[in-house]
Order: sequence, then structure tokens, then C-alpha cells
Amino acid sequence: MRQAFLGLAGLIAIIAAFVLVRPDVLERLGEQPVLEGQVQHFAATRTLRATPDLAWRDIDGNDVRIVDFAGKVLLVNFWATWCAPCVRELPSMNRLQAKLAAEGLQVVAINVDTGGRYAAEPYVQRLALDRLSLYLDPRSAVSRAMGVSVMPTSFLIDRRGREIGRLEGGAEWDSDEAVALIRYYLRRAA
Amino acid sequence: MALVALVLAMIATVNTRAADAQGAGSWVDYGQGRVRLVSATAAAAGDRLLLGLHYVIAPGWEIYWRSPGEAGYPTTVDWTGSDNLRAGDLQWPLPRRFRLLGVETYGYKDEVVLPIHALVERQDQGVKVRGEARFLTCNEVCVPHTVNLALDLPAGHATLSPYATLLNRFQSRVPQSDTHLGLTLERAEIVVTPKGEWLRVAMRSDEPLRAPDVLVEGPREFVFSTPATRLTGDGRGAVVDVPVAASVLASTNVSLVGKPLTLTLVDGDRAREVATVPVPGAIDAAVDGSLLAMVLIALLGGLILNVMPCVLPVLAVKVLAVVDHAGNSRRATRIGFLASAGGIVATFLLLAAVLAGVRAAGVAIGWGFQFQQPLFIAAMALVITFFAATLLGWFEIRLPAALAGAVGRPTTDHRLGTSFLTGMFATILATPCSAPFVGTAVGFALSRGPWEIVAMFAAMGLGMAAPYIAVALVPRIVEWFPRPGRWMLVVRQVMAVALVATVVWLVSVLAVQVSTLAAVVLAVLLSATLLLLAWRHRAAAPRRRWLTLAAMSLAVVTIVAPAIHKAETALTIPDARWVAFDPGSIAGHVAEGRIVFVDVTADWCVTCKVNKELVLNRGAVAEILADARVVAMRADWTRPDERIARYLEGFRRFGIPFNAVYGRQAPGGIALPELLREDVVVAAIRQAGGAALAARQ
Repeated sequence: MRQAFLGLAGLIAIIAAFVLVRPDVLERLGEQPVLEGQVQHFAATRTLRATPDLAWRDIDGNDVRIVDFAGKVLLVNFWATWCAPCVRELPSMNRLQAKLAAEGLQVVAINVDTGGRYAAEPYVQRLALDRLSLYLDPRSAVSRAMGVSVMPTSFLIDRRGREIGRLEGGAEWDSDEAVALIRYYLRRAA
Repeated sequence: MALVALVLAMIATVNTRAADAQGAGSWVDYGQGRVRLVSATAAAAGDRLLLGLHYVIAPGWEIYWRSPGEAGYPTTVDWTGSDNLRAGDLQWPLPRRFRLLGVETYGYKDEVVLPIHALVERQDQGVKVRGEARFLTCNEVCVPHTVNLALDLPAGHATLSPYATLLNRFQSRVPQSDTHLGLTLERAEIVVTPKGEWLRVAMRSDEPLRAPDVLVEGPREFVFSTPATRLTGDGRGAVVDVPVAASVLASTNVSLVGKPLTLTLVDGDRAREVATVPVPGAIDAAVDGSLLAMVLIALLGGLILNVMPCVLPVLAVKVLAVVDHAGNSRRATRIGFLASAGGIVATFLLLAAVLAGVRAAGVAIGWGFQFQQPLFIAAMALVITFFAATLLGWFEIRLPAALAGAVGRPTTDHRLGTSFLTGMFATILATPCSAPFVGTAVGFALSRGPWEIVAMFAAMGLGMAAPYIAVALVPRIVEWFPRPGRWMLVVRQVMAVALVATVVWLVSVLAVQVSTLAAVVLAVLLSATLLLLAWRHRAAAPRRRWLTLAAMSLAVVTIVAPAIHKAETALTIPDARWVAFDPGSIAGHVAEGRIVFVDVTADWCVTCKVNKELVLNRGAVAEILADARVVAMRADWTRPDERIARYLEGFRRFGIPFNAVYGRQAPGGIALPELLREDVVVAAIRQAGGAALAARQ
């Protein structure tokens, strides 16, 4: 009886110590990401999903993979010049990158035009996307592997390269609710 | 039992092929709609087939036209995999406009069939149609699709399928280029405004237009937004202004001038395709100013009219009359001058009414049109001759007092009627003198509605009447003049000389208008009339009557004579360095890096002559115009010319002088002010891209 009591007390002590040292854990236990306004259609996966180990290209022709960004939270976006809602949200993604880069976010905008660099570059220049690198997936290999059917589609990837969720359709990515959603995932140490 | 099974199996086989046998492939559901292949005939007979791509689209979603607009891409089909088929291009029924997320696109909603004309390679054999269709459908998001479609057509008789009607319905909606359906393209031009470039399309229709529209397809460097449309004239014409912007793919400073376009002229269900190349149009610079600014300009213009050689004599005579009879009561003077002012304004309003009416009838008319009529020139010349004679004291026939006063006989008569007619006379003399600002104001007025025309002309009338009103308000002005004396005679003689000079150039105008012979005849008749009057003045009473009669008959002949003579067809040969007016070639010259200087002039236009003497034929400008890199184009508007009238209309100007400079950096043309100045012309040439030319000055 006494042992059981001691055991219980020890357990409580350990938990209390843990909570004192890491109070944020308690905070986060009840927390849910807020999905409203611009990000209301964000669909979080039930369990974190591994992303395909496929490569896309940068403008110099080098292969780029999700694993190259390990340690950062990624917003991977697929866009095309023929897709008006895609082009419309690119400036807001540029601003988002400027805002949250220091907190560990990397926006990866991948263009799927069959015309590749020559189709996409004029838009990048016209829209002054100075914080985004131009990535190319001209045969839509990566987008198809990730299950993209609607344009645009954006994926949130955690620091270990696993898919947290996706948003089908365009959004103002530097709106308050979008920034809050991404910060929620940025704060969770992976 | 087995038989039943066999029959059922046969029925089943027949049914699975039922759709094909009737001329349609199976539906492919792509999520936001479904699509299939259809055929007009149930079987392949002969060497031709009419097929179609049949879409039934979910509400809210659209697919794209062949020129989708700012974003999107149209359906394309890969027919390899087909057997015994050579498919033609997809045909495109008239699309609708959609605004998707602030972006202008053309496409289809709900249902559409894209017809395909195909050839059967081997007749009397079945056809396997296999198409891999790639298309995009958008709502608030875009979903690209690639679907495989199939349709089998057996060989057989050309019986119509149930889809023939459907196919024909959409086939008839494909705009044609060879049948005009009563729609014609009048002109397509690029108009440059401070807000950017516009494509201005003028179209005409045989029947009154209901909802005119123009769909524009052009180079990928340009995007075209929602146009503004206005009907013209009797509802059978329309002007459609399409905003043009550089697309993402454009390098800096591209202009649509000279680029090939395909325009689809639309009115409700009628649509016609036209290929065209737009020409430079107007610069809508300051003419879009507020009505108030324009009214002020009109006032100023009217005021300046008083100084023109054709008008000054009238004012001078009236003032002289008052000076001469300084004993006149102030009140009488006041009334007299006010009445003249009234006459001026009333005549301007009458002119406004006439012009408004003519414009409403859709006739292209401008300021100075009256000088393109020989009858008017002859009559005007005669009237001025009599006026001159009066000033010289040779004309003393007792006309009714009113008229006598009107033609400037020295008279103490300041009654209303007389003075009113003086005002009218002054205005009539003023009409050919397009003073600075008058042209701009008239251009503004004629491009607007009847009320603006009335307002502008009233303002011009007030401006011209200003000196008369000033004297009416402060009659003491007259007392500032020296006492009556010989100087008045000198002034009258000087004015008479000015009038004779006016007659001389009127005669020269007639020389160009009709022929040299007619001008000579008129000159002889007028001189004879003048001499007769002079003789009459000195003659004794009995002769006088005879001479009066002679003078009058001569006058009648003078007016009628030039009108009888037929006009010679040749117009003046331009100076060596001036080429004939050809607006269509301007774009070509500009593209080859030349500067084009357009001078619209006429022999009856005094201000034009002033421009030539002071600016165009002298010094720096003359040197520039003589350079090989400059094309100096002269448009002679001495006689009515619809082409020149429309050209001026494009710049919202309705009178002359008019000058414009075109160059690489100003493909739409820079309109110059009416009174030219050397520095202004050089600056405009520099602005148009002729910096090298201008720099030498």
C-alpha cells in the first residue's frame, strides 16, 4: 500500500517537474490549428504522410528534393501560368516567405508549365517574386506523385519531410489566419 | 432456354454497341462535367464526316475558347490511334465572355459541341475515332484533364444520327469570315490616351445593332480587357473601345500598331471573323478635359476670332462709326453694341443647331466645310467686295437702312435690327477663320452630344462678342480714341485693303477648288463689279441707275458662274518634299524607323498659311522635314474628302490647321496645337523618337 502511494507520488512529481520545465507542452495539448477565412479549406492529414522521394529541377537544371530542406517547415505550392488563381496568389506567397523565413519557413513554388523556364520566368519577373526561387516540374511528375488534381494545390510539410496537410485552391498566404496556421506548425518542434 | 439465352446475348451485344451505332461515343466523366465524341451520321458513308466534341459542363465551371484570354488553355485533341480517319482542326462556336478572378477570359459554360470536319481515308470501311483530349476547366480553381475518347462508326448509309441537330446548332454558331451577315469592319485603330492604349473598332451593320461586341485575338504580348461600346448614328454603327495592356510576356514599350489581329465582330447571334491590322489613331490627350475647361477655351477662341483679318474690319467699322458720331447718346451706343453681340451669339447658336443636326444624321462634317463649296466661296467673295466698296465710300445705294448699317455704311443708326445684322455679318465672315482654340473647342463639341455643341458654340459666340459687350458696358471706351479726323479715313482704307486681300485669296482657293479658269472668271467679274461701283460713285444721277443695274446683274453672274463650271480632277501638286496623304502607310514608315509629319491644310485656311510661312517652311523645321529620315505628308482638304475628315475625327479634331508627328516612340501620333511654334514642333519630333534629328537644331 505504501509502495503504491510512493509510486503514485513519484509519478505526479515527475509529471509536475516536466510540466514546470516544459510548460508549452501543456499549452499545446488542447491546441488545434484554427482553420478559417483564407485557410478554411486546409485539410490536415490524420497521420503524417511521407512524401515521395521525387526530384524536381531548379532553373540551373539541378535536382531538388524535399529532403534537401530538412529542418525547415515547407509550403510546397504547384502553379502554372495558365492558371489564373495560381498566378494570383504568388505575390502573397512571396510576402509570406519574407515574413516567416527567420522562423524556419521555406516556400517552395513549383511551376508545372510544359514550356518550363521560358513560360514561367516572365511571370516571376513581372510579379517581382524576389524571395522565391523558380522551380520546375514540366512533366508534372512530382505533382502527380503527390496527388495534385486541382490547381493550385499547396502542401504543408514538416521539418522531417512529412505531409501535414494540403490546401486545394488559392489563398492569400500572408493573411492573419494563414500566418497563424503556419506559425502553429512552426512552433511544434518536430 | 438456350435460344432465349442466345437472343438475350444478342440483345445485350447490340445494346452495348447501341450508343456507337447511333453516332455517339460513351461519356467520360471528368469530375466537373462529362465529354464524348458525337457524329452527325450514324455510319460512315462517303468521304466526309462531321464529328463533334460534346461537353456537358457542371454549373459554375467553364472550358476555354481557342484564345482563352489572359489565362487558360483551349482543348486540343490528339487523333493518333484513330483508324481510317483524317481529322481536321477543331471549330470554335462563338464563346462568351467570363471574368474569372478579375481576369477576362473567353469560353463556354453548360454545354458546347466543338465541331470537327474529318475525311475518311478509305471509303466503304468503318471508322475508328480515337481522340486524346487535353483541356482545362476552371471555376475558382483550375483542373487540367486528359481524357481518352472513342467512337466507332460502321460503314453504311449516311442516315442522320440523333446528334445531327445538336452538331448543326453549334456549327452554325462558328463565326465565318466569308459571309458577312451584314456586319462590316469600318476601321480598327490604336488610340493612345494618358491611361494607355485602346483598340478602337468601328463596325457597321445592315440591321440596327442590339448588343455589339468585339472579341480580339492578337499577339501574346498583349491582353485585352472588357471593352466599352457605344452606338453611333442611326444604331447601325458602333464604336468599341478595347483596353490594351502589355501582358507578362511583353518587353517594354510595345505597341499594337501594325500587328495582325483577328477580330470577331458580334451582335447577339451574328458573328463575323475579320483579319485586320490596326492603324494609328488619336491621342486623346487633353480633349477629355472637363466641360468647364473646354468652355474657357471656346471663349478664348471666340475672342481671338476678332483679330482675324476676316473679322477685324467689322469691329473696326462699328467702332469707327461710334467715334465718328461722338454725339451719340451713350444709351444708343450701348444698345447698338449689345445688339451686335446678340447677333453674334445668335448666329453661333444657329450654326450649332445646324452642326448638331448634321452630326446627329451621322454625316462626317467639320469646321470649315463651307469653304469646300464653290458657291459659298463666290458668294463670300462678292459680299466682301461690296463691303470693301462700302469702306471706300463707293457703295451708297440706298438699301433698307438695316442692311446698310449691316454692311458697315457709316451710319448713326444703332437701332437693334441694324446692329443685330452687323453681328451676324461678323460671324459669317469669321466662319472660315479657324483661330487657335476654336478648332479644339469645336472638336470637343462635335465629338460629344448636341448640348455640348450648343454650349461650346455659345461660349465661342460670347468670346467673339466680348469686345462688343465691353463697349456696351463701358461706352466711354470710345472716347479714348482720337477725335474724328482723317485718320478714320485711313483706317477705313486699310481695312478695305485687308478685305481686298481676303478676296484675293478666296479667289485663289476657288482656283484649286474648281479650276484656274473659274478663278480667273471670278476675279474678272469681281474687279469689274468694283470698277463699276467706283465709276458709279463718280457718275451723275441718270447713269447711276444704269450702272447700279449693271453692277447687280454682274453680282448675280459672279455667284452663279463658278458653280456651273465642273471641277477639274487634279489637285495641286505638292512641293517636292511633301508626299500625298496616305494614313495606311504611316505604320509602315514608323516601323522602318522614320518620322512621319502630317500636315492637314487647305487653300482657304489662313492660319495654315501662317503656320507654313512662320514655321514649316523656315529654319529648323524645314531642315528636319527635308531630311531623308522624315516623311512629310500633306493632306489637302480644300475639297471635301471623307478620308481626311475621318482621320481628323480620329484625333477628335474637326477643323484645320492640324499637324501630327509619328515615330517609333509615338506610333499613335502626337497631335500638335493649331498655331505652330518651332520649339513645339521640334520637341514633338524629339518625343516621337527623332532625337537625332532634333539634336542638330
